[in-house]
Amino acid sequence: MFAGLNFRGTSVRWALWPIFLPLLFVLLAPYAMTWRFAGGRLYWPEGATELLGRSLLMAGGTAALAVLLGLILVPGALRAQGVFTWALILPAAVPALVPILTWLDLFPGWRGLTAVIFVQAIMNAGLVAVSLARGLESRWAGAVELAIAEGASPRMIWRRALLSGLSGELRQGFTFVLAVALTSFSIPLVLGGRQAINFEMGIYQALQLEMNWSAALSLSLIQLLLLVFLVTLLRPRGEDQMATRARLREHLGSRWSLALGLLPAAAMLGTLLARAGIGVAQFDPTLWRELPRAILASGLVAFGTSVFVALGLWLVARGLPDQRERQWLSAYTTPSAVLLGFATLALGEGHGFEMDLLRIIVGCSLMFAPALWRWRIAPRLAELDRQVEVARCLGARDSLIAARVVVPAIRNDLAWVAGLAAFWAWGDFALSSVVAGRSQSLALVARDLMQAYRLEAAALCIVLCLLMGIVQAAITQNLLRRRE
Amino acid sequence: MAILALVVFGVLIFVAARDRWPKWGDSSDEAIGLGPRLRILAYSSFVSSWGPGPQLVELFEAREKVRVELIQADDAGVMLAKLEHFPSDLVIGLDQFGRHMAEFKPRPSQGQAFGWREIASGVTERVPEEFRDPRFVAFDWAPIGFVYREGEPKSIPRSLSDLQSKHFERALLLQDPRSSSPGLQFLFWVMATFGERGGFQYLRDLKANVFSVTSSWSQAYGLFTRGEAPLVLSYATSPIYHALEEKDDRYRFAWFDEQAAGSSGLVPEWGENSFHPIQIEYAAIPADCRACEVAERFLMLMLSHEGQTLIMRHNWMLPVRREVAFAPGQEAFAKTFERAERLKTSLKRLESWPAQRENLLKKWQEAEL
Amino acid sequence: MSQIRGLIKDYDGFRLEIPLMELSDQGVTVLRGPSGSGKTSVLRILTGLEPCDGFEWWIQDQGREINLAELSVRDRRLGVVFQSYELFPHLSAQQNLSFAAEARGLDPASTANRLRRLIQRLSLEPILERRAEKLSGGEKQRVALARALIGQPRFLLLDEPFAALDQDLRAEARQLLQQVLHEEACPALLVTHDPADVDALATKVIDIENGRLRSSK
Repeated sequence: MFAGLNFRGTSVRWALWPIFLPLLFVLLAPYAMTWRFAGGRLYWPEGATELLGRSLLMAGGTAALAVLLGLILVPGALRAQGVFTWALILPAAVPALVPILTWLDLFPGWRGLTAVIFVQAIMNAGLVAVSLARGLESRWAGAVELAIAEGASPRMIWRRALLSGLSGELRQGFTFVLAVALTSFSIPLVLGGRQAINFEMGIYQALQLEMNWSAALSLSLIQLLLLVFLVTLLRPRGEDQMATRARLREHLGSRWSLALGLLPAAAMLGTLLARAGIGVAQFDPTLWRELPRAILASGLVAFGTSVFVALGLWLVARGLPDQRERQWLSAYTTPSAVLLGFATLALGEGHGFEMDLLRIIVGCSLMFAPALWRWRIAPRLAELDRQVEVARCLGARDSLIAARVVVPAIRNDLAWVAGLAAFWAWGDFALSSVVAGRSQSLALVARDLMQAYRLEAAALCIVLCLLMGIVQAAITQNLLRRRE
Repeated sequence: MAILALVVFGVLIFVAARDRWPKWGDSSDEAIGLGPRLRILAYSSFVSSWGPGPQLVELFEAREKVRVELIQADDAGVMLAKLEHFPSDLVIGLDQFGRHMAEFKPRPSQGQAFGWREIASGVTERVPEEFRDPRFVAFDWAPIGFVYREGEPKSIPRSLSDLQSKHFERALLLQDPRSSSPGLQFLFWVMATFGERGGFQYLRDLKANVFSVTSSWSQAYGLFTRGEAPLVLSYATSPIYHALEEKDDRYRFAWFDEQAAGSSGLVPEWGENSFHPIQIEYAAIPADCRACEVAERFLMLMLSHEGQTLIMRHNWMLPVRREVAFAPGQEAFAKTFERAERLKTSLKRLESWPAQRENLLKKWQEAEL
Repeated sequence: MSQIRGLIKDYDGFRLEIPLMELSDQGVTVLRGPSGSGKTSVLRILTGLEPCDGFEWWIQDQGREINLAELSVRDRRLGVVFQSYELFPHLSAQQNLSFAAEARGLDPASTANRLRRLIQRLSLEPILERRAEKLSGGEKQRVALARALIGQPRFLLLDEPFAALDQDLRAEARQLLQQVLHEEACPALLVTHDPADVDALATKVIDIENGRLRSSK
C-alpha cells in the first residue's frame, strides 16, 4: 500500500510520519532548546576551519587504527564467549577517566596527537573486533566451513575471502569509531596537545572560556553536519548474505588474539584496583550517610536510562523497518553534554528530586541512544533487511513485519543496549553535573569527594560505579533477553 | 514478565531513593514555608555534603525562618548560564576569572552584561580593604603554588626559576589552564613574572620537568597523593587538610620568593617580594534578585565568625577575616594566614590578567606543554 | 504466456536491458546466466523490491489481463524462494509457515487443509517445532518452498534455490520441487547458473548475459 509513494527510495513514506515526526522533534529538541542561549545567531566561528581539519585528522586516524587493531583481534573475538566478550567491549564502554589513568600509568610521557589516536583506537578495537566477528558468524560461517572442508588454510581464508567479504562491517566499524572520536572530549583534553583538538573541545572552550553560546551551538551544528556527511559517504553498500551459522570458533578463533584483546581491560582493572586499595580509610560518616542514597539514585538513573533507550530504539526499529529511512539516523549525534544538559533544563521548573532525575535520565538517554543505535541496532537491522524483503514479498504489512520479524529478532540486541545504557548512566557526570541541582548520583558524589581532597575514597566510588554498573547491566540484559 | 519485573524494580528503587533525599533546602516545613524563599546558585564543592553550604543553609533556615534553595553549578561559565534558567538571589563561588566573566561577558539571551546589585556597606565592610568591592563580596582566598611531602623532592623550589632545575626532572604535576582554575592562575603567574614572551619560553623550557598536565586539580592532586610525582600545583591551604583530617603533617607548601631566584640554595629570607597568585572566591547578588535583603543577610552569615569558620574548615581556604584564622584551635590556618597575608603585592601584579585570558589560552594551546 | 516489458535500468557500471521477455504460464521458465549477468536484478524488479521505470508485467488473472508492475510488492502476490532461503531464524518452521498465511490475510481454518498437504508433501512434520536457525540446508529449502506456496501465489520466483545444498541433495530437491509445482499448478521462474537445473526442470529457457537476453528455446 505504500509502494506508490516510495519512489527513488529517498522519501520517507507518508505512513511513517506519525513515528518520524515525533522522532525528529525529540532529536532536534536539544538543538532547538539551546537556540535560546545562542540568541538565535549562527555563524562560522573563528577557528572552525582549523577545528574541522584537526577533528578529521584525529578522528580519521583513530578510526583507521581501531579498524586495523580490530582486524587483528577478530580471531580472539571469535574465540571469546560470555564474560570475555564483555571484557573485549569494556574499554570502549568505561568512562574516559579510566583509560586516561591507565595510559598515564603505562606511558606517563607519551602525549599529543599520537597518544590520543592510540588510546582511542585501543579502547575501541575490541568492540570493532566483536562486531566483525558477529558479521563473520552471521554471514560467512557456511562459506568458511565449506572452504575449510575443501582444504583451505585459515590464513588463505582470511586473505582471500574475508577481508573483502567484511568490507561492510569494516566500513561500519570505521564510521562508528569516527563518530566516537569526533565527539570525544576528556581524552584529547588530557592527552592531546595543540594537534589533538576536535569540535567537542571547541564547544567547551566557546562555552567555558568565552561564554559564547552562538559559537558553541554553531560548532555543534557543524559537527552534526560533518557526521551526516561522513556517515552518508561511508554507508555500507548492499551485499550478498549467507545466512548459515556455524561454529567458526574452532576454525578461525585464536587464543593469542583473545589474550591480546583482553590486555586493555586487564590494564584498566589493575589501575583501578591499585587506586581503590586505600580508599576505605577515607570513608567518613558523611560518606557512609551519602552512599546508600547515591547508590539508589544512580540505580534509578541507570534504570530509567536503560528503559528510555530500549523503548526509544524499539520504537524506531518498529517504526522504520527500511534501510533508507534509518540511514539518516545513524548520522545523528546529540550536542555536547553541556549543551544537552542545558536543553534538558527546559523540561520543567525547579530542582526537586524527581525533576533532577528526570532531566538526567532524558539527557543520558539522548546522549547514549545515538551511539548505541550506530553500534548495535542499525547494523542488526541492516542484517534483517533481506528478511524484511522476504516478508514483504510474502505479503506482510509493515506492522506484522515489525511485530513478528524485526522486534523479536533484535530483542537480544535491545537487551544489550539497555544493559550498556545502564552501565554508562552509572558513570556519567559530564551531563549530570550540569543538570543536577545537587549531587544525587554516585558519580557526582565521587566528584564531590575529589574536590574535598578525599581522592582515594573518590577512586573507590568510581570503582563502585563500574561494578554496580556492570551488575545492573547484567541484570537488565538478562531480564530483557529472549529466553531460548 | 521481564518488563514487569523491571518496572517493579524501578519503582522500588525510586521509593527508597526518594525517602533518603536530604531534607535541607527544600523542606516544606510550615514555619519556613511562610517566609520568603532564598535561591542560591553555588559551585559544586560549596553545595556538596563535604562543603560548607549545607551547614550554612541549615543555620540560616533555623535562624531566619527562611526557606533556602541551594543549587549547584560546575563552574563559572555554567553557573552564569544557569542563572538564565534559575533566577537566583545569590551567586556563590566566582573566582577572579568568573568574576571577570560576570562583569564583562554578555548575558547569553540578552546580549548585554549581567547586572549585579550593589551590596549594603554593612556587609562589605566586613571584608578587609584589599579584597573589598561594592558588588562582589570575597568570602575566602588562598595563595597558589607547589605542595610537596617532606623528604620527597630533591630540593625545595623557592622560585619559578628554581622549577627549571634538573632536580625537578619529571617532578611537576600541573593543570591545564583551559579547564582548571589553579592551572589558569599558574599561567598568569608565569606571565606576570616573565612577561608574555619570556613566559612562554619559560614554559617550553619547563617541559622536561613536567610529569603531567591534567585537566583538573583533582586529577593532578590524586597523582601526587599516590606518589607519582613529588610536586603538585595546589593551594597553600592543602597541607592543612592532611594535617587536620588525616593527621599527616608531612605535607608542605613551597613559599616562593622571586628575589631569591638563583640564590645559593639556602632557604631565603621571606619578604615583601614574595609572589604567588591568589585565588579569591566571591559571592554576588544579581540585579534582578527577589529576596535581595535576605541574600544580604546570608552574606552576613557567611562573613560572620561562625560562617567564616565553617567555610575555612569545609572549603579548605583561608577566611577573609583575620581573627577567624587566629581564633583558638585554628593554629594550622593561622600559620598559613600569617605568611599569606604578606602577599599583597601579588594581588596588584595579577589584577590586569583576567582580561587577557582568551588570548593567552590560545597561545598556551599552541605552546603544547 | 505472461509478458514482461521495459525491464531497462542503469546501475553503477552495468545496464540491464530487456525490452521484452515472455514467461511460460505453466511449468518452470529458467532464466540462465553466469554470475553478474543481471539475474538477481531481474528477480528483484519482478518482486517489486527494486523500482524500475517503464517496467510492465502483464499476466492473466481470472480471465483478466493485469499489469503486476502497477501493484505494490504485497499485492503482486508472488511466492519467492531466495538462495539463502531467508527463513525467520527466531521462528520455528511452523511459525514461518503461519507467518506467511497470516501475511496474506488467509483464514487459518481455510488454509489448514492446504497447510497439512504441503507439510505432508514436503515431509516437514518432524521439524515443525524446530527453530529455523537450527534446520539443515535441505530442511530450510523445503520450509522456504512451503512458505512461498502457502499463500497461493500467482507466480513463484526461485533464486538459485539449490545452490546452498550439497551435491547429492540437489537431485532429490529438484524432483520434489517439480512434483510440488505440478500439484500446485503454479508457474515458476527459476534463476540459476546450474545446467543440471535446466535439464531437470525447464519447460522454457531464457539465457541472460551482461544484462541482455541471448536466446530462448
